[in-house]
Amino acid sequence: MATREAGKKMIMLKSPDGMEFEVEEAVAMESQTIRKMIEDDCADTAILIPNINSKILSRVIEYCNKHVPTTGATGAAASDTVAPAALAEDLKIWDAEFIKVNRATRFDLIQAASYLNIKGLLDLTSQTTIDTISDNSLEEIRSFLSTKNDYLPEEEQTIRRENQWAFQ
Amino acid sequence: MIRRSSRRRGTYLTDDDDLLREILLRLPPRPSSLPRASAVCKRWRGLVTDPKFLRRFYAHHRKPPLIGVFNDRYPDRVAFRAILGRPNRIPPQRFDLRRHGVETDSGSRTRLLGCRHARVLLMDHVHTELVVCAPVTGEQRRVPVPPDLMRGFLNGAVLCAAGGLGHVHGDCHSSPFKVVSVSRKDNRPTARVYSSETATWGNLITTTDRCELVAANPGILVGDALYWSPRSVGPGGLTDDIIKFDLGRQILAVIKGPPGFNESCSHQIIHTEDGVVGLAILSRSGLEIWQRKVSCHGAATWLLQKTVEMHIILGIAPQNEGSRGAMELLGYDEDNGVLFLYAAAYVYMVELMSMQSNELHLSNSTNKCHPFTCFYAPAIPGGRNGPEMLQDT
Repeated sequence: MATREAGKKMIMLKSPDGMEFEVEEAVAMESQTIRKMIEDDCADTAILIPNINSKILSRVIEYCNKHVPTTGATGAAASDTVAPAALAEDLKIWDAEFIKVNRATRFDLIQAASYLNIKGLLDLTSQTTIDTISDNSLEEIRSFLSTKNDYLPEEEQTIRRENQWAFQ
Repeated sequence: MIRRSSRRRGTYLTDDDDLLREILLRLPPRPSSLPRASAVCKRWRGLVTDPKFLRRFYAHHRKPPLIGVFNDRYPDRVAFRAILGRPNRIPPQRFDLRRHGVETDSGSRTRLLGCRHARVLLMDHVHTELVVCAPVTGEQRRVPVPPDLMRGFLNGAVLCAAGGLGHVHGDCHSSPFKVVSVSRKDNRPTARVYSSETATWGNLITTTDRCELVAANPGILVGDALYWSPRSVGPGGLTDDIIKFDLGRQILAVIKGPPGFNESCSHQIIHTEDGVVGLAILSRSGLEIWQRKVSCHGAATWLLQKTVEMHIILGIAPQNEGSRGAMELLGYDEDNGVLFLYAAAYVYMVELMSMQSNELHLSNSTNKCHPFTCFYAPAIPGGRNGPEMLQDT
């Protein structure tokens, strides 16, 4: 979570379960949804984030803290001395650790990233989900995403037969 | 916006079409992705065959995958050869141009000029026509070649002409297209541009630059220019002339290759890491990568960037890399920066940026490879992306 530093504008984010998170404005503005609220002057005191519980919201803030551009930030990562490629590599490693969560948490994070419109987090969470399932069998995909097969056996057979090569 | 509801964990994600779409957009762009996703359930089929989804899917991935090559004589006619492993190995009959009435057998005198933006360009020497065909949809157009382009050699390149911000090349099967044809008259290159929108050839474009080219390799697009390099040794030895056609300004020019170029046996126009035109040349010391630098005063110089010992990259015994027959460059995928190379009876793919190689198949010939890249979304029974079904049996 962000700490108050001189000269930095802070805002308050509230989860529906009553938790409050004081966050640097720049960090919160990683979310395009919050950015718009701030820019439209709808965020005077505190912003209530509906349907994202405190556990998920704190993870989202953790992500935004890591990904907020450090240019001009005092005491932040030394972006002047570290090559951009090295920073990107560092972020990649950090992301890979960050996304090591169970399936339910990952789905909650996708939902939060979509609502808050945080492109990087949506990319990371959705891509990880696809990477998990894309080499799996159809049965495994259905089971992972709790999706029911509503095809009649002959309908599924027709789909498979039409592009047989894709199922070999 | 996410709907508020008390959905059970593990199920809510797939109840929300927007979220599911976000996830499915990131399916790898390989050929099997969409047919497989369609078979999961009816809702998935509806989502991934929606033309709007497909446009977003292509825009998300931007770069169409390399799914195979067209060969001039494989084994005896112009034909598609899949290069991906299962389950992405598209049956060659799907892209058999004969299904669409294009005569490609060895007796047909049809020659392959190149592939780009999901289309194949062929020259039908019997009818003196260029044939532009989209193998995925079967759409084709036959374009009579103007007599003034039939004086020396004839080469050409097909390009998608779709502008617009939303367009991603690789899904160009039905977009308007251009064909740039080059030839030679009185030792000078000439060109014309055909537009599918007006169904006409533009004016003859010429230059005062002299050109010794008698046969050209497939045209390669680098930035906004097409380049044709010499294909074979001419009467006076291999020339170092390269024809350049600037698409935006419609200007033809002849540029010279780097030192020693006309003594090399095998080469390929490439784009370098900086996005400018370069050459890969097989010499006695290995694969040389050259870059053409143009100063602010317009003076051009070729810089040797690196020389790579190809037998080490390919993991094979040392070859006589600069001699014809031992190793040859067969083609180049502009979209992905991949070189096709023949060595020790095999065809290899080499990714130039990383120098990673991949053995493709045994081959007893050094026929040119014309890489074919496109997004492939085959019709799905009950889907929304086109009625034509193409069973392979």
